[in-house]
Amino acid sequence: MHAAVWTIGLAESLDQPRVAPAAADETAEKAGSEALAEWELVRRAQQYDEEALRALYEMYYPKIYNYAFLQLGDIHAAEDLASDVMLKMVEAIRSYSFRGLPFGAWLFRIARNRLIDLHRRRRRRGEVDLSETLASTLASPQSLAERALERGQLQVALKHLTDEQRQVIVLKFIQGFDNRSIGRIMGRSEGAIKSLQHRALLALRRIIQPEGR
Amino acid sequence: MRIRTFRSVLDECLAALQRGESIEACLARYPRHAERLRPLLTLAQRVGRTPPQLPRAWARETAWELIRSRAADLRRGGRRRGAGIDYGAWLRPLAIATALLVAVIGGTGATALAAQDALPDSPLYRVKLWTEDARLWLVFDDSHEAEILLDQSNERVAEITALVQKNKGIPANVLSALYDRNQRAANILADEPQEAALRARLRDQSAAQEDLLLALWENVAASARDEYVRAVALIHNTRLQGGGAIVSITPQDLAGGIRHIEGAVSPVAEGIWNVGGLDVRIDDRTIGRAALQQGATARLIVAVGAGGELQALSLSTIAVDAPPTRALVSGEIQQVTDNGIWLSGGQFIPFSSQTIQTGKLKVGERVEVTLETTQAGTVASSVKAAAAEAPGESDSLTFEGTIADEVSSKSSQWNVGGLTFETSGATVDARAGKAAKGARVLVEATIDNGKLVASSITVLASEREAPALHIVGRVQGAPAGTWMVGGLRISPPAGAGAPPEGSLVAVEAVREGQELRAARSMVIELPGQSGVTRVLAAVRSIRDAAWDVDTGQVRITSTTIVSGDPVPGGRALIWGRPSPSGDLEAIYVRILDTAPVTATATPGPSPTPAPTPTPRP
Repeated sequence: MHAAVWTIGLAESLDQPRVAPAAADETAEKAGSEALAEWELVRRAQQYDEEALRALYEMYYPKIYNYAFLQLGDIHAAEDLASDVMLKMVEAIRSYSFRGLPFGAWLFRIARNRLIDLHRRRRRRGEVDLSETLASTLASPQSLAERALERGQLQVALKHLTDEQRQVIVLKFIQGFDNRSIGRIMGRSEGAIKSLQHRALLALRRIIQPEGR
Repeated sequence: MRIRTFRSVLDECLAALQRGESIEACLARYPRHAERLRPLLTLAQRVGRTPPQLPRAWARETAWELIRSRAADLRRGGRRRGAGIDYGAWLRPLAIATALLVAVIGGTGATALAAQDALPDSPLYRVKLWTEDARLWLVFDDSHEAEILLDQSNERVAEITALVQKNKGIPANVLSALYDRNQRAANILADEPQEAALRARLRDQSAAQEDLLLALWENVAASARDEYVRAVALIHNTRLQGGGAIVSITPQDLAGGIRHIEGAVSPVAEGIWNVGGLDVRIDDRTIGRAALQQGATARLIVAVGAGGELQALSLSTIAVDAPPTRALVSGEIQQVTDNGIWLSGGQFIPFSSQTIQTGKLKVGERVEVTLETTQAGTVASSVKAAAAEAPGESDSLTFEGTIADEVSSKSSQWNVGGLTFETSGATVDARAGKAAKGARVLVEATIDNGKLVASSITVLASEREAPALHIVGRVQGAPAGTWMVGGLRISPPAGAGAPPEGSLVAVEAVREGQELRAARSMVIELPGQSGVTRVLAAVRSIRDAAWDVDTGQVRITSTTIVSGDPVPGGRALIWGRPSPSGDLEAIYVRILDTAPVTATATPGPSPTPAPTPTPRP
């Protein structure tokens, strides 16, 4: 089963020794067993087992927080959103059933919806995002190419992308989801995600490496 | 043969990367696309390696308490909330507050109460911030929330001030909390144009907070520098945006610290001005820029960027012949009152609400005071308890010499009289002339890990012979026929006996190769003596033996040594003892300027305001 590959973050896997293509099946098998272990946790959490809830919380709260922070640029708003999502997880976990949609993708779909709500509320309020004004002068896109890609720079670069491009970059390359899961989170087809990731990478490259470096 | 689109090949390679395959392996499978693939795959890999932003531990624990509490409720058969209910509305804050109160009061009620007075260095401080947050969760009116946030922001400032008074470093948590309160208040008030009073309060409060933080750069713990620059940048930008500006400064602009520069300004290039010899960017991000005129003398607070570049944060112009805005006094405390201190001999140093106190003020302890002349008179802008070190261990130094190399804004190392000083955090007073090669300067410095670190540099109006050096410091010993003075090794004058260790001495010297050779020396204070006061101020008038200086009256006696010819309007460094009649009886005077740099004997605000009702000791 390929659907559970998302549990291996790209950042983690790149730090591991390179895996030859022939070993890919083994990787998928490992991912599959991790997904089964997680499913067992979810099943216990559905009985409100505190230990299982804590394990899921420890696993996902930092990921949801990082996802929110990269897009909001504000630690407090990101903390609020991550707490909201985890509360919703407890409230709604009994309605979750494993029908090909990994638990993580289910949680990120909640996070994505919360993010859309938040942006909508902010727009309605005309809220000034000071972190945005700070970030907008952090560095021009051109100067970004001069340095290594760091979190702050990635944040600035993400602000130059469309919302969907930003989602794909974060979900695929930071969170390590596969196209199918990203499609379920964003409500798009796998084909659309393929196109989006291509456009998103090209756009990000134009921002970070304007001269094609 | 099936022709695959580039999009499809890219997708396959990205998936392969996720499985742990290398970029090269993928390129080898698709050599025709290799050129287009490589940059995109490399970029994906770089994005994936971006270090994650980690949540703060206490926020994570607070949220977990909420989850745990809700799960317990559900286990007991509590109702699930309907899917249509908005968690962002009234239920969520209530749930969070309830969970938090259960967690805090249920487990540690007394702790929460005790935490209300906790300072940021206390383990209970986290609880204090929690309870503040819990209070906000029960507030539903935006304006009221902004008002509370502004109060909480002031509480952070009070905590910072309290830490400084205890001579403790400012940690990251309080700066982070200050940032948080200010940003949330600014966000709310940006949406509430009708709240003119609160918006004005935000603006005024930000100005006061920025002034305070900018004066405290050296008090910030090294581990808290990131939070410090972030907080200062936010506060400065709030002020800029309150004034309608759309530009902002970034934390990177402040990464190298803060410095104060005074001097004549002249344009260099678009947005760049030379201020007293240093090139500084003065632009829309500089508060007070509107007052800038070519040739004016200005006082700037400057942010030092990561690469050493100087960006003016604020600017005020000063009259060329106005008295120096700063004078330095050090002496022994005789009495501490609510509104100032009496130094030994009867000099009263008044405080204002902006006076920064570093360290606890105790009778009998030495303090260093920076006096500032304002329209209301002369008040202490800072009072610092002198380091509690034995006099013989003191490595602070007053050094007068000539700048030997070209001065550059980008280089923090200045060669003065053959010695290299680290100047990145030094205040530069260049009102009397540019800080440039050949200029005579007075440097106040300390020795840190074998390096001379300047805290202030004052350009002098002087035409003395360049090789002459002037040093004042404590004698730290006399190894191998030399004297150690304030950390410098000096060859003594021929036939001179070594002063006792711990003596405060003045030495006039010349540089011979690597050696500092003293021509003359004198002991200002012997170890065990006390009550010597030091004053750096301008001489306003000279009437025989009575000198009127910015900080009060000085009397020259038959035993006073005066080094140099005094000039009304020029500055002098004076060591002396306060006499019963209230003036300072000079022991040693070093004349710094050979030409006037300030107005002379003009009537104006009394340099030392009338004593307060507090009885004089």
